[in-house]
Amino acid sequence: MLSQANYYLLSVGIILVALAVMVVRFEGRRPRAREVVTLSVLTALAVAGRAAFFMLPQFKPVAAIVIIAGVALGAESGFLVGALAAFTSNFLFGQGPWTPFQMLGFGLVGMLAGLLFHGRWPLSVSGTAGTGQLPHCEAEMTGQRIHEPQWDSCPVSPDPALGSFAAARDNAEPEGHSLDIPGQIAALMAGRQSSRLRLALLCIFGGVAVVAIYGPIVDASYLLMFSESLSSTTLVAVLASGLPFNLIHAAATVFFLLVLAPTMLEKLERVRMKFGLFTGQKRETKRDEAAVRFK
Amino acid sequence: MSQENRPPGSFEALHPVPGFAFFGLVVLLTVLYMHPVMLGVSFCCAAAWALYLRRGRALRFILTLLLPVMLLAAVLNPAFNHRGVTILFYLFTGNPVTAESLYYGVAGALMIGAVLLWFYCYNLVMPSDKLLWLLGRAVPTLALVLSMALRLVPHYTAQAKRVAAARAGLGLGRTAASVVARAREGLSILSVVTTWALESAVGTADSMASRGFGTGRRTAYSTYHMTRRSWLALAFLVLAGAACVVFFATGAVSVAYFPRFELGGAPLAQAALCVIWCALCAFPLVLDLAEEVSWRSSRLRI
Repeated sequence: MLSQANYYLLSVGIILVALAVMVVRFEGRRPRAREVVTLSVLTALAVAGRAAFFMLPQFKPVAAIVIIAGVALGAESGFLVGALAAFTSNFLFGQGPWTPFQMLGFGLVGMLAGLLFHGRWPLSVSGTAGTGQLPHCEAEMTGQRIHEPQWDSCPVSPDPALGSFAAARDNAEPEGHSLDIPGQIAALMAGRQSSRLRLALLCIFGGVAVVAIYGPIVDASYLLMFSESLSSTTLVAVLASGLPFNLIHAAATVFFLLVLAPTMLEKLERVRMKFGLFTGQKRETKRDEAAVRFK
Repeated sequence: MSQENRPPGSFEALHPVPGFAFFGLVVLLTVLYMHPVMLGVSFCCAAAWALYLRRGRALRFILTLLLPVMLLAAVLNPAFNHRGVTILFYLFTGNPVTAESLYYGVAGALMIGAVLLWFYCYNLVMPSDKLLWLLGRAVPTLALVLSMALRLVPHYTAQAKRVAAARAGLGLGRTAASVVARAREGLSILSVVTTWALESAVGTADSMASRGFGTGRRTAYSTYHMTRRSWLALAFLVLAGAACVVFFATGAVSVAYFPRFELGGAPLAQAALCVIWCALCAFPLVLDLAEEVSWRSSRLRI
């Protein structure tokens, strides 16, 4: 019979092994400078976001930014940004027995976002150009085309970003919405959704991920710390008492995804197009090293 | 804080290796064995050190945050856990409240209090650069990402302030009336900072690449030196920790809460364990106090 403390230590040990696996994979890949910088920038943005909203507990944009990172950079980077954001922000808010659980929670959210949304669609979910100005949210929602060109399957596919810039120009005048639900579902099946539907799916994913993944993991860690009896009753009690906070957190995540995802993904897409920041994740190690050595 | 600013004899001035060894050992042994005397000693030493380091602020932390949490933990366990043979009374649900689960609740509360206090002290005396020093040896790229992120957070906050000032100068978002308008202004600033952050990241990355990032082994500069003092501290911590583990592993001392609360082992073994554990837990406070005493006495001699 394990005592309470040993359940806690056991779970922390398992989490540390999981984190170590991801970290060793990352190190072993010998990432390029651009990847290293991108990861730290997104981590820092998530942490700065948590710091900016510190006065509103649970109302934090970390999960939203982690999800955006996962969508833009893929599952592995999403996991790393999530875990690192939790770890880094605890340098400001205090490390504690909860740190490994927060790292796992945010890491999994970012990873799932990457698995579900990365590369499936054009990088950006919106059709607005990144001008540095945040478009009004409602104009954002109504000013979209229902069907965007299907870049993925075009034989000669135009650059997604070019297409979306063009779409933004065409949609300068907001058009009334036409809710063509069967059409939307058919589009979903065919893998070409309107940007509105894509954004809605991303928001739903964000809310569900916070309530179903991040929240339970962190709440369960309190159970492991506080209570000796690991029974389904205590688990239900702890999860139920945490639910209101998780719902606030989920609402915040949906809100931030709604306002941040279109612009941020657009900006990431723009940087990708302009500088090739997220392309070619594998480095040409041998050639680079040789070039430096024989200089 | 640089190494030079720390009092040279204090715990904080020790090398990161004995620093992490201390916190690792103390937290692990506190959590692992749940020996009631050890828990009490651990809690008292952690509280004393926290009070020494932060005085009134630590007191406020203990009174307003820690004690309610501990009380909650002490009450919750007997309410949910009905193991144990000594029944005290029955709850309205018909479940028994046992003396053993009460003891266990108190022990659990002490354990949580002690661990949270150790982490409170950890956050005070182990700044992020000590952890980065440690990670920089094992996982250099990840440590680089971490240290860059830590550096970028204040960088972005400062840039956000500049953007806000510039926008105010243009007449945008000035003392915006409604909450919605203010929130929109905040999101605009975030948006501008994001663009700026991503674009300046490209410059950083190119600069790193052109200076040969990833072409060889990374070296790391550190201000930490494994002095004789640090070696002695490490040796003491390892020996004391090992002694505690040996006491439990050989069965010289044992603790059981269920079904009946029992402290096993010869009184001599119990006493020896307690002395060693006291020395281990009080170690940083003793170092800091000795340093303060020697500082004051040398000031008196001037």
